[in-house]
Amino acid sequence: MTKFQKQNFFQNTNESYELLPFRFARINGRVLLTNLVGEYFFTKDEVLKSLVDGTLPNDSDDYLNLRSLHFICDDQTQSAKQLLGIKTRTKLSNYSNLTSLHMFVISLRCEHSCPYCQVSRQSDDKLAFDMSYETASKAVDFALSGPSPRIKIEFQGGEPLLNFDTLKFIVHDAKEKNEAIGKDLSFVIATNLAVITDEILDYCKLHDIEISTSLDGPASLHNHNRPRPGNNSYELATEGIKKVREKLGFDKVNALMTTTDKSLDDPRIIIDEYLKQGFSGIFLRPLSPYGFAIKTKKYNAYGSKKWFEFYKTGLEYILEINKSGVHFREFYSATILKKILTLKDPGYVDLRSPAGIGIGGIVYNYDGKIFASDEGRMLAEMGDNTFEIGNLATDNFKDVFLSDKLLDPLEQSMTTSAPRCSECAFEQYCGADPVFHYATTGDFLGKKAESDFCYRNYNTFSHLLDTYDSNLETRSIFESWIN
Amino acid sequence: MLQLRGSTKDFHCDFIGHKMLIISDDSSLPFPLREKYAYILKENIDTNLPDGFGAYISQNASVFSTSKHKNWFHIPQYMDYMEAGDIINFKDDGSIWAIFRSNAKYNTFLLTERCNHYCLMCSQPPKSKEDSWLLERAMEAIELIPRDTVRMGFSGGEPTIYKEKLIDLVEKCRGYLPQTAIDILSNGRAFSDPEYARLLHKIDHPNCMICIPIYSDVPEIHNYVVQSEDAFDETIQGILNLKALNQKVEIRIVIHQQTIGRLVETCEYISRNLLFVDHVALMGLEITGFTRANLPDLWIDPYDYKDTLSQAVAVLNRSKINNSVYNHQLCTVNPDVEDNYVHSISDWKNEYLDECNKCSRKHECGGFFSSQILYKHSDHIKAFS
Amino acid sequence: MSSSLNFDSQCTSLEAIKKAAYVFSDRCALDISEDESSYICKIIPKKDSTIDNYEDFEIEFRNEVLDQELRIEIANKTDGVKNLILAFAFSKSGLSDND
Ligand code: SF4
Ligand code: SF4
Repeated sequence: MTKFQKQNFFQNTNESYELLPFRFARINGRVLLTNLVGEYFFTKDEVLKSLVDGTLPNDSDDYLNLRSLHFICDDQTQSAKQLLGIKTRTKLSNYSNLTSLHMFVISLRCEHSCPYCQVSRQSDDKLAFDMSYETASKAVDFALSGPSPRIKIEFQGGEPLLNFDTLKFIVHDAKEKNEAIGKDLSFVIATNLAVITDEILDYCKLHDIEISTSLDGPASLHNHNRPRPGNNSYELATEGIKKVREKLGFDKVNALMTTTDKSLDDPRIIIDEYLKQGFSGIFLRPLSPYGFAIKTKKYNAYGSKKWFEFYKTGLEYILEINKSGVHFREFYSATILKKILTLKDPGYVDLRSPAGIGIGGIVYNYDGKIFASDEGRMLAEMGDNTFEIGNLATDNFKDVFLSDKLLDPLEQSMTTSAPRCSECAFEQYCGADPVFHYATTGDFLGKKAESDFCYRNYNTFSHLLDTYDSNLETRSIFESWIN
Repeated sequence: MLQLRGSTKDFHCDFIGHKMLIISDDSSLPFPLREKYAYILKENIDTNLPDGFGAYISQNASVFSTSKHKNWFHIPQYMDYMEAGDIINFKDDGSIWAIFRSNAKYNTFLLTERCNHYCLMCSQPPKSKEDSWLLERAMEAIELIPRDTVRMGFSGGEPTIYKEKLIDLVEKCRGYLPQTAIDILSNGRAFSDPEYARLLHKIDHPNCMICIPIYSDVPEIHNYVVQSEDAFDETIQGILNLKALNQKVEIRIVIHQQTIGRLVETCEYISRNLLFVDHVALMGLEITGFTRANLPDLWIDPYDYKDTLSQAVAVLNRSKINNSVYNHQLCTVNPDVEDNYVHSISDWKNEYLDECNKCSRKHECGGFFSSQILYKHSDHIKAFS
Repeated sequence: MSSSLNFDSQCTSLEAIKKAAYVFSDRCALDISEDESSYICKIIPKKDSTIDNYEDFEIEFRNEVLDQELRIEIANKTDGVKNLILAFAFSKSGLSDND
């Protein structure tokens, strides 16, 4: 039929194109390009050069893909700019749900004496280290007065179960006050499970309270990390996990590991322990700087290099597990992949810019002090009150969120304008961690070339993208993790 | 396939032009209503026809031979599906047209054959002839359609060539049929004018979906498929304008040789840029209209692209975009798309091959268009045991 | 021990050199001076720095300067459109995937 035009009739004869904002990095001999909203493309050095020169042929696959992914636009695709605008807006709107995680430190007392813990006290002095009803009630008012439609109250310590009366008080108080407000309210207790009882579990069942516990690995490692009288932290934790599952349901308990330098020896034994306990995944958590770097105020790349090796070995091992047909996630990777592959923000506090402090979660200390993050509270225990952003006795939600004590670190740590970050191909996935940088370098922004945080993130992003993009099987495993 | 239009040599009418009536088989219908109805005589018996109906139809001509009634039509055999509730247009030259069938799951109104695209696989090859009477009939029919109709569609050609008149049609739907969801098939380009999108939005129809094709994330391919330069960008702009006003939009992709190569990329493009669309339809090729002429450039065996289809569905599912696979046979798709597999949109194109009679899953399978059976279908049709 | 690198100031921008220096600031500091035709960068390694091979370091550093030049070029070519896109993002057009 002659009425139809051939394909080449529709080929664009105008060969000029316009570059859209993008950044690049080199990974394993390939060049990674990321655009304004974090969409990415792997290519070769020559393509990057001709792309920037304006000489990329408009019928090449690279051209078609780069145009579809909004690295360039031409007179066929003027809509690209508007679409990028919409995507930018979508990403920004992730920040509109201000503060849904509220951490209530209801007791500093603990029967464990973990060496890396800066906050707990071995004491029976309830008056000195427990949250009072009066403070608790103010904290509930404060939490419910924020704009977020979802409120998660997390009980923290020390060991929060040592102050179970206040815990019950808060649950009742929050539920009662919320009746008129109608937010989606949920509760979780962060406990080592050593002192859990049937009575407590019955209560949790009644009020649909979830349990988050600690499991650092097999008995030898866990008990080494977590000394307590009897040296049986592991036994109590695993029995506790069983009990919670029987009473509350299998998925009502999750576990977090604290990564210490002893953990770094072999991630596999830790992963095996999580598998054995029936968990559907593990969070290979970054090394907490608070036992190491903060005390010495000295940058120590050793820690994060070793962690990165630990993480890579662990991830590799977990991928093998998945390939054998067992669905098991690594939550840190899953969080980052979600940021890379979608416009949604998984809300991981350390990977947000503006930073997640205050906005991502807020801490009410037993004595009524308000902290911008859990790490900020730990810093205060070590004598530095920089991240104490208010006090329940005197401040309301608005006071705290508009205070310079919160806004200064947020503003000063923004990655979009920071040296290095502003040119970094991973900036869209990364975040600002003003508490970490303040603790290690004394300023909120930190020097990224020397930053442990940057080292860890830069390498993790590179590694994940490279792995995701090189192997179809791995790709589909990763994709199953982010759903 | 049902024939919706027919002619009868044996008829009598006293009106000039046309008359649109609903079929009734109720001989005791209250007298004042009868004028709007055509009485259908199903039985092959000579009875006294009730008085006062707008017209009379039967397959049995003899009942009319002695009749004193005017306006009777002896309907041809191939239109014996007609039944109470159907809306029929009668013309003074004896032609009849079943414009709405009450028993159909889904009725589509062709509004025009004119179009500013000329798609390689168009099932309704565009004509340039003035045909706005089609729109006028649809406007009339809306008054007669049962209020409890769940869903119906308007197609073309390109319905937006009517500009404001199409908007009037939507307004009339909202007035007469507020419970009925409507689909309008359009290439979306007219909505790149924000003013036009706003006109539609102002009507505030409770459930109106604009169904817009995007055949590729590569503009040159899309433009080639629709045979129109600059189509892609305008269509995207149209979708953005509609969604900015919260108007429902479905994206349609017909899968064939020209679109399969970037089907996955196209779905990725949608999931990144048009995440807010309400539905994506992935459709198999119907072998009618232009498709038959362009078959060598279009045909690809669904069996050969089933993995690509799985990937495309996975991309959309991952982004939580509602999506459906239409016009495919169950034995040509992978099990992982079955959650998105849709049996059939309309109820009069499910036909089957001999092989299908052995198939344990025939009742779940959408089967074929008759055109597919006639001209081309997958070489891999294989019964499930 | 220290060593220095020269860059032709006709074809290399000071900005690119400074940005590259920042990237390597965990390993060394650069002391940059200028004569009529070139920038002279004196490398001052940090205490317990890992620069053990200056030739490798030079290659790494020169490549980084080139990359920084490219980044500057991209930024120059895209600054205008970036502002346009951000203007779209902050306009009241009301469309966002999370709405
Ligand atoms: S902290 Fe490091 S990885 Fe993150 S954006 Fe900044 S430079 Fe990139
Ligand atoms: S054999 Fe026929 S009925 Fe069975 S799945 Fe295939 S096409 Fe459908």
